[in-house]
Amino acid sequence: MRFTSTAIRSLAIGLSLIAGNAMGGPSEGKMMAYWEAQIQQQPDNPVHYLRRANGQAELGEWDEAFSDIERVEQLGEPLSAALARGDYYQRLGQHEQALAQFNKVLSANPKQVRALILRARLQVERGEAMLALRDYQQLFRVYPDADTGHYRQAANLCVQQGQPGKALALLDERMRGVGPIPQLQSLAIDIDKQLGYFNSAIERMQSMHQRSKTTPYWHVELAELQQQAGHNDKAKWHLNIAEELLKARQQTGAARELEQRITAMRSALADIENS
Amino acid sequence: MKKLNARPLWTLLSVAALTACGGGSSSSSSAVSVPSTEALCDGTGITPERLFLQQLDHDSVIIKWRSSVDQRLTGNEADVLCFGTKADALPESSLTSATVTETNHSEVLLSGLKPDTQYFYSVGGAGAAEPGHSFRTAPRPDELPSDGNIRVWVVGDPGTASSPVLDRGTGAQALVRDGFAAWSANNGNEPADLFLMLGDNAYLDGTDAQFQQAVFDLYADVLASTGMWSTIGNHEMGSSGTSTADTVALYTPATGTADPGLVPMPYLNIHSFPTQGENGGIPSGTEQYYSFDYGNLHVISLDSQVSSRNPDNLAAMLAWVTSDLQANTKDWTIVIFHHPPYTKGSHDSDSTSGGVNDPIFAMREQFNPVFEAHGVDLVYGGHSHSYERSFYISGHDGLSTTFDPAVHAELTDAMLPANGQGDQAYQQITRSGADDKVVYTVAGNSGQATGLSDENGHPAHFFTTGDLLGSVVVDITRNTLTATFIDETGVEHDYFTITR
Repeated sequence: MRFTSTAIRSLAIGLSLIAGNAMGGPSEGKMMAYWEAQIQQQPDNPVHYLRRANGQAELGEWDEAFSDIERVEQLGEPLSAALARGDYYQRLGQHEQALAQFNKVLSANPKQVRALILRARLQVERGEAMLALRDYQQLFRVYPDADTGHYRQAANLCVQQGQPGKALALLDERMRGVGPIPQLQSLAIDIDKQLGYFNSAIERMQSMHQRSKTTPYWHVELAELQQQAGHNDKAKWHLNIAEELLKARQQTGAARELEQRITAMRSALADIENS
Repeated sequence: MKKLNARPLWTLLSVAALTACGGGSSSSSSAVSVPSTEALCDGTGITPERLFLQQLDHDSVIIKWRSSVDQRLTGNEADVLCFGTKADALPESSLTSATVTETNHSEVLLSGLKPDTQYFYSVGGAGAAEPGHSFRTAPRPDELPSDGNIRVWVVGDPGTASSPVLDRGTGAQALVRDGFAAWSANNGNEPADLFLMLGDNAYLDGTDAQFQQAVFDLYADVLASTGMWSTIGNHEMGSSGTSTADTVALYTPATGTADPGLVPMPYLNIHSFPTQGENGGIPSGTEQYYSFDYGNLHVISLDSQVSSRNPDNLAAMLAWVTSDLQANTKDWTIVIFHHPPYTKGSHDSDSTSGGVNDPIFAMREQFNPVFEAHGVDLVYGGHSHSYERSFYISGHDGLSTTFDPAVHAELTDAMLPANGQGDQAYQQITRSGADDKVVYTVAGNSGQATGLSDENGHPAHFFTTGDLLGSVVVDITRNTLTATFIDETGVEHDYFTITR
């Protein structure tokens, strides 16, 4: 490929501007000159217009961003253009326009991960929990390694829809793949507790036994669940272990709080016994 | 190269484990005795373009490599590895087949290793190891290495070697690397046991090619012999560092290309970080944040760049790190993430910079209290291309103007903030009677030093420089932790000590 001297000069200017940008931190808009140089080199490459558009969007230069996206579409990348437009409309709060763009992408490719994530989020913003859930479920089918937060979001949507069982099933399905990680199991325990399923919550706590059994925190959590399940003797047993483990721990703020929780629980258990 | 008849991986690992465990003396430096009649590997050793150690533990390690395209075209690639405790006698029974990832990385998990023991290896399965291709396993859990010290080398925002414009012809990244080597040579010549990278490891966009230049080419010797661990910087998410995307699926490089496939982000495709607590700690289920143990040290790597930008992901990471810290009983705890809670370097922790620096606020406001409540000792970040080291502090989650040393810092008898040096060394149990304070350090000057946004620095910091290049060494014994800032010539400029 041959470059014109103008293009080379533009590229050099662009690169030097990036240097300034990266030195002092981003958001100064100096990447624009770099992308301008790229476009001069390869005016028919839609990638450069897309990148410049994304940069303009970050700077809030929406007219310029949409103009570049128009060019992306003209250069034969209509779905990339639609995805970017949808993202921009969503950021601008223009939900219906955004939805139309994401629908366009997902009609052509129902497995487009980025579009599924963005449309699910959009549906949450639109208050369409069921539609958001549908997108999340499709996302999990095509991309099981989606962020843990997406699973939590989807589970919370299920709860909002009055379907806590579905929420638990979703969390359990993911944990079959990654194990009983606290990010998901703690949410499942909260849901179980809300439902009064204390024995199930206890089982979930015990699933984290392998790594957590030596922590006083785990035993206190379990003691609280045992108490709520009406197993006061087991609750006391876990409190005793927690106390012993706590003695061996470094004194920290969290340890002090835990000590107070233990004292409060002992008092509550004593009240139950005396009543 | 000659291809050896590779057996199924699981059988080879079993054999390797037996070989590695059997017959050796308990001395950490002595070799496992290989029967003289045992056949040695007879493949051809190579030095691939990238070679690095992941998840280095007391009984296992992952050795990972990839040959360059040129190397592959000339047959200079390998899919097997031999290892042993004698550099010139790698037994055939140690021959292990690699698995190959989608991005053509070969990796081998060696298990059943002896703790605190030197091993040698040959990529390609030769009978003798290539120079420098060796590692020392971690000490047993809760113990120290035989030399009595765990040495951690920390670099932040180092990756300017992949950006000629950022490097400005200075070779700054290599200078900092050599500065550490020079300092080490003058301080007992002890190599690093751990190599921690604070993100922005490969400018501008963390592409695979940029990682090659700024990480694998630059630190080849260190990576072949030392366990490397990292955290995600803003430039690892592409967009020349301006990304505010809250999922790695939205990785978009402004220069270069994304990886093909479902995971476009090279950082995740290159590394093999623990997700199931393989090296200690609580399983996180993700390589974006994780923890591991090394002797009596616990290290946590958090993802400030991506996970903190989404409320659900932030809540998930917070739930995980709380569980992880609750389970942690190690003597010392270090946390690393990219966005520093306190900085007046090239970024200002009092400004969100239009959203790009939202993670600074999220980490300071939501995570710092958890660190301080659970006995974390040190927090390292980068992002600003400066070195800024705080007093021993807690309870400060606001803007810099709200920092009050009398309230937030550990004080001397003269009621001044202690600097951690000499007779002002910090005690892990502070005057409050609890382990409740943390030293927060910005160490983002391992590839460039780009000045300060406020010449007065952040009031939480004892030491601030925006002009010096450098890196940090943390030395850990049973009762003492010393962190030292050294410049690119190997000269020390700051240190502090915590005792327990």
